[in-house]
Amino acid sequence: MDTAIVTPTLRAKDYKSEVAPVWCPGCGDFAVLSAVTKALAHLKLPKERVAMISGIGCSSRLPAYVDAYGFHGIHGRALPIASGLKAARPDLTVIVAGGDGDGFSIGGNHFLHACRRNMDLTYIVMDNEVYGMTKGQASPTTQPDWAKSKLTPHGTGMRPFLPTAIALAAGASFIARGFAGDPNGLTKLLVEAIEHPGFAFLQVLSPCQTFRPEQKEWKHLVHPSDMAPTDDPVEAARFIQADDGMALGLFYVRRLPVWQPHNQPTATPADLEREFAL
Amino acid sequence: MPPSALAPPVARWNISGNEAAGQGAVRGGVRFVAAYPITPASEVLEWLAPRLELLGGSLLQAEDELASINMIIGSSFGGVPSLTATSGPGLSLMVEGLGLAVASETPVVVVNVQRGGPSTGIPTKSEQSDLNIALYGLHGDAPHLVLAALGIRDCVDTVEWAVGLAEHLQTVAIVLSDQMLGQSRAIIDPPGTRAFGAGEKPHLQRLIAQDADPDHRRYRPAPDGVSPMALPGLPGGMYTAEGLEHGAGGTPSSRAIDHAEQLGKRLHKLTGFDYGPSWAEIRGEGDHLLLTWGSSAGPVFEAAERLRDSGTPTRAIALRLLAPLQRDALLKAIGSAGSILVVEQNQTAQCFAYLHSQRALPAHARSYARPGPLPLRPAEIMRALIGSHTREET
Repeated sequence: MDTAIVTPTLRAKDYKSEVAPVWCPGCGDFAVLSAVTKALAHLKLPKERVAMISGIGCSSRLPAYVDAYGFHGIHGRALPIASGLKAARPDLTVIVAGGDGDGFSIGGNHFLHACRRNMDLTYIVMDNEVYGMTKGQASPTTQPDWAKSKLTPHGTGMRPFLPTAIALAAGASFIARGFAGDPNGLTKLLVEAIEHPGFAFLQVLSPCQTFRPEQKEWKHLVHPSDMAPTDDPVEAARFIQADDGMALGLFYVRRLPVWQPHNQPTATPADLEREFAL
Repeated sequence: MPPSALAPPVARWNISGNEAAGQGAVRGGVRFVAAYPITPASEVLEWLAPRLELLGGSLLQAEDELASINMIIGSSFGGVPSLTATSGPGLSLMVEGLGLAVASETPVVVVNVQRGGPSTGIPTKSEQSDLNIALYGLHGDAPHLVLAALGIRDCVDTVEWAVGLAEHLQTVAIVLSDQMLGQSRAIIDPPGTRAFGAGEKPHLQRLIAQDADPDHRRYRPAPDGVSPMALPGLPGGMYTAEGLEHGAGGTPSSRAIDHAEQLGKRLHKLTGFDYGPSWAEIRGEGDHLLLTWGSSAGPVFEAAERLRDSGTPTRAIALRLLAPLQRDALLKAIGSAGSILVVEQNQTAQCFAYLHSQRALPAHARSYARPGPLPLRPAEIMRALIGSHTREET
């Protein structure tokens, strides 16, 4: 008898958990959560085959709000947790979520190496150019003259971290930027990122209403990318260097070798012991 | 009887401590390893890399130790028994991740092949000076397992046991080896097919949730503190593993009642477990007692044997399970020994201080502790035990 498994169609809201977000009213991260659930519904991914992995920060709270497997880890270490999970369980769809401080400052080294390792992961960075959970300090993407943090009363004096440029230089195979105020565009980018075989980096401009109220203006500043997605890193580099940080869309996508385990189970632990015998 | 009439001998093994640790890992079921190279632990990882593939597992070279510990937390969350190996500086970098594994109840094993410290120290020489960080390095109340291999052959059994305990108790196990064990090669009798002999312990494995339980709560308190772990792929088992304090379902909580309940769960699952007789190796009888841990077992056992042979009855105890300390069993093994010497290879008598803090030593116990890199020798241990004992009598 045919025992085909029927998967009921899930709607976006079915992927939301019962946990209430801790985010401030108006936080851009609500729109990212919505886009994640819409993308999962669009792709018809069974909830139990999805793992949402994060570190620490406002946006890193996202996994608990999705009805899937999740790991809310420690600050900066979302990518290693996700990489270990994907290496051990290649059958899962592994999505990593976090903020600009978590991903580019304390977790910066992991970002570089996750790009060049090119495991089949999706990495969403909700970038609001501020540490929100610790109440408003400058992050790696903050402009050097932003002086509203008590920690850096003269501003950071450092040029901002350029996530898309660094992802390209480090070898990422999918680089895109979305905006929390453009939920449809964001959902489309997320679907493409999840479907991309390899490390997909999606920077999402996600305004912080509390500590960066001026980011309300972002909705007037964002604009679609005027370049079609390219697989040429030179063209992508030119575009990204000239970019004002507000272009939205898929910039760069390229098929590159994906890291995967080389295992070929042909032995037992007892077989291995023979090499020691005299 | 002519030699030809003897039963054919079992082939002996030519093995290093680091290879033995790797063999113990795969025997214990480890199928994922994340690795960052460091002296003198790299051979554990290099031995495992090609062999894990033959067993259907894999090894991932990490960008640093912060990554390697968190990678094995991720793979273990996925249901695959996981391990890494490192040495002191790497262990220092891993301790925040170890706290996450404790809080989220994700089993992981770290083999720490000790070298001279602090800082970069003496990377190529041996010392037993990482006991304090192994016991106390984690912030918060973070109970976990600390074990020590007692010899090259014992690296197989102790690592296998550590993997089983970490899996069964859903916690962290740190195994202390050291440069002298790890990078020395010896001819040994093959270890038994199971750590410390078949049947001596219950089969240790992870308690995995088997079917969709609509009331599945990952961190639900259980009589023995061990709650079933749903693995990704199991419908209905979805939860978010947490490093934040949480309630039984995993939702973050700062409520006193949840904190008390989860702290209690994580502590009592370790202290209430029956570890059996493998917590220590005990040899000989006598009013004199040498007490040690880890690789110092070698010279201590030899010193005790030589003392017995020369008419000074001496008992030797080498601790394999350091945390949770099997205090009652230890006090019983110490008995009424008149002369007790705690022997270890570090400057500050870390084990001696630990045992006193646990009220596990009589007041008249003395310490013989000195740093590396020179190995401890039986003669100096004999002098330390008998020399001062003799002075006491005069």
